[in-house]
Formats: sequence, structure tokens, C-alpha cells
Amino acid sequence: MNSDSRVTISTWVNHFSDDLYAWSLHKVKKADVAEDLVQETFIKAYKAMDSFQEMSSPKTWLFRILNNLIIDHYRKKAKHQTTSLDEAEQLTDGMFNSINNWTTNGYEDLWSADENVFDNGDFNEVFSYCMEDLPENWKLAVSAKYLLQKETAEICQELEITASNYWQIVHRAKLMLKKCLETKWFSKV
Amino acid sequence: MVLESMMRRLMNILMLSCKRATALIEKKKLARLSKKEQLQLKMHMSMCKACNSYSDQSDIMDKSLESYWSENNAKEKNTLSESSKQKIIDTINKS
Repeated sequence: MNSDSRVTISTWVNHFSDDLYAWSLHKVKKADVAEDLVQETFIKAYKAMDSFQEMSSPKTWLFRILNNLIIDHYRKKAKHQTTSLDEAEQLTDGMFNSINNWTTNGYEDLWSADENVFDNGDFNEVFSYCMEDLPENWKLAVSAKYLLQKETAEICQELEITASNYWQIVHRAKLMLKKCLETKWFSKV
Repeated sequence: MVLESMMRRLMNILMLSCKRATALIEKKKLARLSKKEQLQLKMHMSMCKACNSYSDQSDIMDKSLESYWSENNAKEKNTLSESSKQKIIDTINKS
């Protein structure tokens, strides 16, 4: 590694680290983790400086490295998940009766497709809470589309799951989200 | 008799549980449904109010997810402290 690379990286840290950090924090929600990922991004970039082609912008390149680290972070969390899957599965199974039709709770009619709900800070807070409540690999499954910005086939490759596994987990996760939103939001507004 | 048993077989093929129907609603968004699944779902949706509600709710959840992960939604501009920036530069200079 030469001193040129070091100077370049220092410049990049000063130019881009705030944007990278804001993005990282938005994606991982925890300040210390977000900061670690930004640091790792620059270390990776420094080591791979030879492969950086001047034609792509450094910012684009750094964001690509960071996004890969973010998805890795979620993959690792999914592998070591602490929430009990059994519990979550029991909860979503409990939304159906013995012949797998809906058991009603009276909340399902309270949903409104109010367009403004997504600008409502309180709703977003509840939604965030419900996301945190999901088992890690369920959260990863419903988020992958937005984190990776890729099509199903590539997402499955990245997550190392089959397509049918993928939509089955998404189904479970959305049932659990539905239940959480009904209990914590729609039954209260 | 033959007709009756044929009818029963047909009903068994066509009738989905709500759990299965909602699974197919999610599958449809991410993958391709087979002809049989398309027909099964269409049949179920034509007579199940709760699953029609679920379908709307699923769309709302998609919008919420999109907004949850959206770059624009990082409302307050969070910045890295100067000492953190220096730490990154120091780490690289030491390596």
C-alpha cells in the first residue's frame, strides 16, 4: 500500500463518510454498528484500491461496498438469531383455525389505506417496533428486496434459500407484521 | 354417483384454506403462480372477504416496508463525529 492510497482514502473519509454513515444508520438502526460498517467500508476500499476504476465515481463504489457489508450484517444476525422461531410460528399459526381459515379478532376491518399514514411519525415508530419484533431471518426476508434492490432469483442466491422458502418466510413475516400492526396501531387509532 | 365423486374431487382441488390462499397472495408478488394456483386463488378470492382484506393489507405493508427502507426517509441528517472520522483515518494509516 502506498501513501497515495492513504491520502485518497483520507480525502474520501472527509468527503463521503457522513453520507455513508447516514445511510448505514438508516439501514441498521444502531449507531455503533453503523459506524463500524462505515469504518470497514473504508478499510475494504483501501485494500481494494487497485481494483477501483477511475471511471466509476468513488461515492458509488463506496456505497456498493457498504451495501454488501449491510446485507452481510443481516445475514450474520439471521444465522445467530435469538428470537425463538417456534414462538413466532405458533403466533402466526394461531391466526388460523383448525382448518386453516382465518380466526377473526375484529381488528382486520380497522385498516385504512390512508396515504398519509406513511408520513405519520407515530405510525413509523410502531412499524419500526413491529419490524424489530420479527425473527431475524424473517426480517431479512421481507427487507431483502429493498436492501438489495434485486429480483427474486438473485435475492434467493444471496440469502442461500430456495424461491419457495423465500415466499413462505415472507408470508409468515407479513402475517406477524399484520398482527403486530393491528394490536399496536389499528386497534388504537 | 360418478358425477358426484368428480364434483368432490373438483372441489378439493379448487378449495383453498385462507392460510394457503394468503401464502399464494405473497407468492404471486415474488414468483410465478402455476395455472392451477392461479385458478385456486381466483376461486378463493371470489368468495372470501377476509382474504381480500388481507390482500389490501399486504399492499399497505409493502408500502410501509418500502418507506421503512427508503433513503429519503432518513429524515434527520445524521453525521459522523470528527473523532470517528479521525479514527478511521488512523486505522488505515496504521495498517
